Amino acid sequence: MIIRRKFRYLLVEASRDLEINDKKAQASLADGLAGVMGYLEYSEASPRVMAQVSRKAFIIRCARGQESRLLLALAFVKELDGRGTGLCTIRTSGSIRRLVDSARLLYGIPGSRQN
Amino acid sequence: MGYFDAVRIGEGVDQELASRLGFTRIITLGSELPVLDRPSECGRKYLLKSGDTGILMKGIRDVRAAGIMLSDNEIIGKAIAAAKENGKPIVVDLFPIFSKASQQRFRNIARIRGLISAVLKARADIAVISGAESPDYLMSRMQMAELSVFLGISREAAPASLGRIGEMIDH
Repeated sequence: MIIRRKFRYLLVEASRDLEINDKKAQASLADGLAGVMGYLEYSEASPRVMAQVSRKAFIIRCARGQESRLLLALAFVKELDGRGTGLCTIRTSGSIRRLVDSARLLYGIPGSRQN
Repeated sequence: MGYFDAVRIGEGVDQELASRLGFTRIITLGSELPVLDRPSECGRKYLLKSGDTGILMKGIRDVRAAGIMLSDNEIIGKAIAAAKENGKPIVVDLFPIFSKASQQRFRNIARIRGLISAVLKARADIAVISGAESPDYLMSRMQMAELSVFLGISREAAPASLGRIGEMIDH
């Protein structure tokens, strides 16, 4: 039997502009989160950066049921790539498409399906 | 019900960001809501922050004192009981739990947990604020509610603790 993993998606806004698609930034985020959550909880949540939606905002995915732990851990990450950075969780959703749409509305990016 | 936060960022927080973070308004401590170490005759509402029982007892009876902050999150049972009697909330500042040194952070988490537990036992009101000193320390409403639950406030009571600082100023 194939068990399909279900995910939740979090829209995260950083306190400064960042290039989250950069491997170094992603590794730094993973280290920060693992440091706060511990490796066991981190593996269970298995967070993964999905998309950058604006200069400051990006979408991160995690296993369903772990989103509250992840958003708490994100609050404790105060440094990325050696620079002071705060991470705020703006929205959570079960669908990445819905989250991209609300990000477009929030940050005034053209192309929203609701526009 | 509105949701509010209070921060120490000098230039304040733009209200567009506040609304993205899920707050009705983010109040600037100092300019919008002074934090004083003794009861004052100034005609504005203020937060009283002290570790001295005498000063706290005096301030709790002052109508302009909107809330009470306990220095170093020290548990002062007499002040907590008096705050409950006078309907003054105990303001819990979350900023110390983000201190850089991990030992200090563990200590601060334990102290805030102890304070919250004592306030809940006394059935006094709690107002939770981020007390952010820079934009890096801002949190969204979701994160603050989750952090409040982590520190011992029930999931049902957490939203109310995020609305109280605004109610205090408006009344």
